[in-house]
Amino acid sequence: MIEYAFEVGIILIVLISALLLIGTPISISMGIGAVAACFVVLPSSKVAVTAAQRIYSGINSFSLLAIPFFVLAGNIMNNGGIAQRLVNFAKSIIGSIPGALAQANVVANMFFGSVSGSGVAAAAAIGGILDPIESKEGYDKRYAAAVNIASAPCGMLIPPSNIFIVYSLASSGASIAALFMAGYIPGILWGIGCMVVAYYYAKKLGYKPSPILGARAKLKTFIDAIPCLFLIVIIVGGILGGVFTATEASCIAVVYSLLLSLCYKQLTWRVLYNAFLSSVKTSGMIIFMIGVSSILSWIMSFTGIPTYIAEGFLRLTDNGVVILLMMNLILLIMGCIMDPTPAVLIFTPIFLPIVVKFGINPIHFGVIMVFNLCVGTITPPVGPILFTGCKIANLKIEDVFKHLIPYFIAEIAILLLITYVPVLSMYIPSIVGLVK
Amino acid sequence: MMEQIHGLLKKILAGVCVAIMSALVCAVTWQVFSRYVLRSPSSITEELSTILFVWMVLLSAAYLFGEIDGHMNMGIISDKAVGKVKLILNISSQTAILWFAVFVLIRGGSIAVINCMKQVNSAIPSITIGQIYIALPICGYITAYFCVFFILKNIFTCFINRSESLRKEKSI
Repeated sequence: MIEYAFEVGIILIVLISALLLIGTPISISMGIGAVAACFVVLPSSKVAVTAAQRIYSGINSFSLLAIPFFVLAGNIMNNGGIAQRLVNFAKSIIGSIPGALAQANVVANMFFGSVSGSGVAAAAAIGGILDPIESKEGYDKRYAAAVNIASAPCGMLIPPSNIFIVYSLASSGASIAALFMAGYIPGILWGIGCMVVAYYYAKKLGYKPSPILGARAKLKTFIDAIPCLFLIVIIVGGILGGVFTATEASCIAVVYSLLLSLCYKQLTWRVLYNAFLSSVKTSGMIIFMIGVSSILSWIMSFTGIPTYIAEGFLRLTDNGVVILLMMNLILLIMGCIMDPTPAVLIFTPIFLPIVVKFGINPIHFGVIMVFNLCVGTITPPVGPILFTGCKIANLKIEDVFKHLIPYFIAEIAILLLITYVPVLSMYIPSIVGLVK
Repeated sequence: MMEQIHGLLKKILAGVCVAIMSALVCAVTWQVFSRYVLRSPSSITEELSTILFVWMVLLSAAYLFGEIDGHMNMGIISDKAVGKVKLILNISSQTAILWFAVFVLIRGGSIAVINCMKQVNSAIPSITIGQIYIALPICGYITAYFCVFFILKNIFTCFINRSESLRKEKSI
């Protein structure tokens, strides 16, 4: 079937690009491109049924069930008073430094990411709570929004992370638990990068340190936050200890956050119904895309397109450092115009075989890929976290974008560090025995 | 009439999807509970959850096709387009969705249902694989209805705008 690779490749590129340009949903664009390509290699009577069965087999996975559960847990936490307690705790541990509220925003986004796994949910929940407080304390709205937007993608790297689940599926076998563990250090480094930039600008803008909380108040916020923080222990401890799978852990996260929100008496039936419906919509969109993209993955592997692309890359250079740099560039550009889920689904089958040839561990490459695409979530024209953060702060994208540039520089420096220092990603998975 | 059916269909789909999601939470919780508390792991919850999940995804995907921009797109041109160009782009995009729904989900899905109607699910023998596949054509029919609705709505809007501008011209 290799002889059809060129023809199929052209059909895929032309058709998918044309449909995307006219505003057709990404899932349908990928689906129509892949189905049209199937006509080249399959008898026309078999195309429709093969495509339908591919969609079904792409969705028919117990592991994928973790995505709607983590989205639902995030939505419940967002509405159930958990985010507020995490913000209070973050404020208390930051203490008295210039721009303390902005620093608390970064830390709270990291905490929220470690219980929900969604950057958009973190930007909405934490930004929504801190934005009015920061305005009241005289913070520049654009500065505050930039900090919230820049730090929210931490949640996509710090486990649990929905995008790692998608990568695990697209890579056909990378362990979800190992990916989760590998995301810790890069996620924390992302947060530290944001804190350094936020601190520098807070000093430059002359923000005064907030008053220090007394020991008793600090203890109270900590005690208040313990039940919320215990969720991290349940999820991570549960998966690592082999108590339950990632899917079961995500379901326990839903039940736990539901019980906690009921205790905090912040959930009504209407709010709960809306949280369920919003989760169904978000996850339905992502997983339908995964299902349809499996037609694309199938036709690409059937015709050997990834092998051709790998050979093309190797003809350009046989230097692993340059290959990784080129991939980073492609992923950064694609991340700007594409959401992380379709980008992972499209580029994993193409890039992974190439990097494996250079001895790069699929877990390490997963972190590099997700990190690149996280940068894309805060850049226009397709930046879901950028849009959410601007909407929360009631600002235009052009108002905030200039303030985001220093954060981009910091994140790209960290990206290079993560790309060329594999131990940053592989250390935790190896010490817990998930990778040899 | 079509507008009312559209609204009703979306309400029903939303209710069904939320009910399936709630059932999924219960099923997976029961799986963990039965394994660790009752020490008697449930043999069917994992398979049942996966089946419910497939149905939920396909029905929610259909629901999202009933919303403008419900599914993720890259409106680089379409978001900036106005007037007739926007209308043409909308109709073209809806036609592409309609083709996919009819060809892959309805036609392909129906053939898959017929082919697998006698293939029994190994974990739950009372269910056949064909019965699970029925979600595909159902998703296809609902999606196709929403597409036709949006296409007709776009054409109708175009005619109204045209007749209004003609009326204005005449009055001038």
